[in-house]
Amino acid sequence: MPSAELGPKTGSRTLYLAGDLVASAVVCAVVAVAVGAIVPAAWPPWISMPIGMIFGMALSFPLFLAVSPLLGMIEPMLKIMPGAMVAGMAVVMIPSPAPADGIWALAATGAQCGVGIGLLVTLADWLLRRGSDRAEA
Amino acid sequence: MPRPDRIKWNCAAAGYESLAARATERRWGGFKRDFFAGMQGRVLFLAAGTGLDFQFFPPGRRIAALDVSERMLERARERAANYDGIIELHQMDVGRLAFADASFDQIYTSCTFCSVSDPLGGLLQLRRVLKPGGALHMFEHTGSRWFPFNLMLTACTPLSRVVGPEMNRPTVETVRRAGFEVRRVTRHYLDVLKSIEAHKPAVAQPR
Repeated sequence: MPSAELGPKTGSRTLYLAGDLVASAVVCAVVAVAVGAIVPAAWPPWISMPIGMIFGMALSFPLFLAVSPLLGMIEPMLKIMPGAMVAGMAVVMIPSPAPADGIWALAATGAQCGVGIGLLVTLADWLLRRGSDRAEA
Repeated sequence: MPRPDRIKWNCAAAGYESLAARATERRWGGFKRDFFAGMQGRVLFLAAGTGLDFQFFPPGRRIAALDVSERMLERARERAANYDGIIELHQMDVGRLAFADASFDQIYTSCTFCSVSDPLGGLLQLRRVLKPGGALHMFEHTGSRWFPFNLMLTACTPLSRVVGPEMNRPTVETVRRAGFEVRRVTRHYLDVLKSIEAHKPAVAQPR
């Protein structure tokens, strides 16, 4: 079962990756702020983390649809949604920030999750493709 | 209860290109050009949609292109007319193909069997209209074998199937169950996208 790289050549691929990561950062920042507003800080982590993850995924779907006309469907979705799930979990772990900084702290956490997970997904795709090629050989 | 495919895709036709298709086609254009380059003989292409894929077809071919949605085909008409060859458009459900047995040398599908409500029934129809030894080439998004993407796609499917495709189908297995010989499966992007080359056995096998 061989594997192959999909999509444009290297220059454009870098551009698409940058676009995916920026979109992921924005979507995950919005998700983080929304989850931070919805999930009460007083809940214990074993309740708030899975709920944050589910909210993160659910909220990211319409936001992803909003950016998909610019970026396409499958690859951006597979970068953005795991990022939003992790952002939803991470954001409930932030110790209540000062009200003036609250939104920015949440958004920054979400954006970091979006970029970090987006890069991890890209790396996973690359490693799995290389692994498959080796197995095929 | 799921909406019939025709109604669902008629509803999606107006926003399909701007929402779902243009950026995706730009991104996958190079791959699709290579994918369709092997078209030869009498070719069946499904699902034509608004005809965005026609730009990637090699010139000079004779292709029967079908789609279940008449609204999608209205938008495909101009693109079919501009193709340097012959594209005949048909409004037809893959589960009820109005072609004679063994009519086509090759069949191509592009992101089709994520949306067909009865994939096995549709593939059995494709097997019927394909000549013995003929080739089925599919480019499909399917379920992934990798965690957490398989879980994510399964979680998205109840929502995505309302407006369009299912995200987690075992299409390679369904192709085998329909009686095709799967010769090559190429996995793209975390095993979510696959190109599949399958053949109808040259000697008829009972189903």
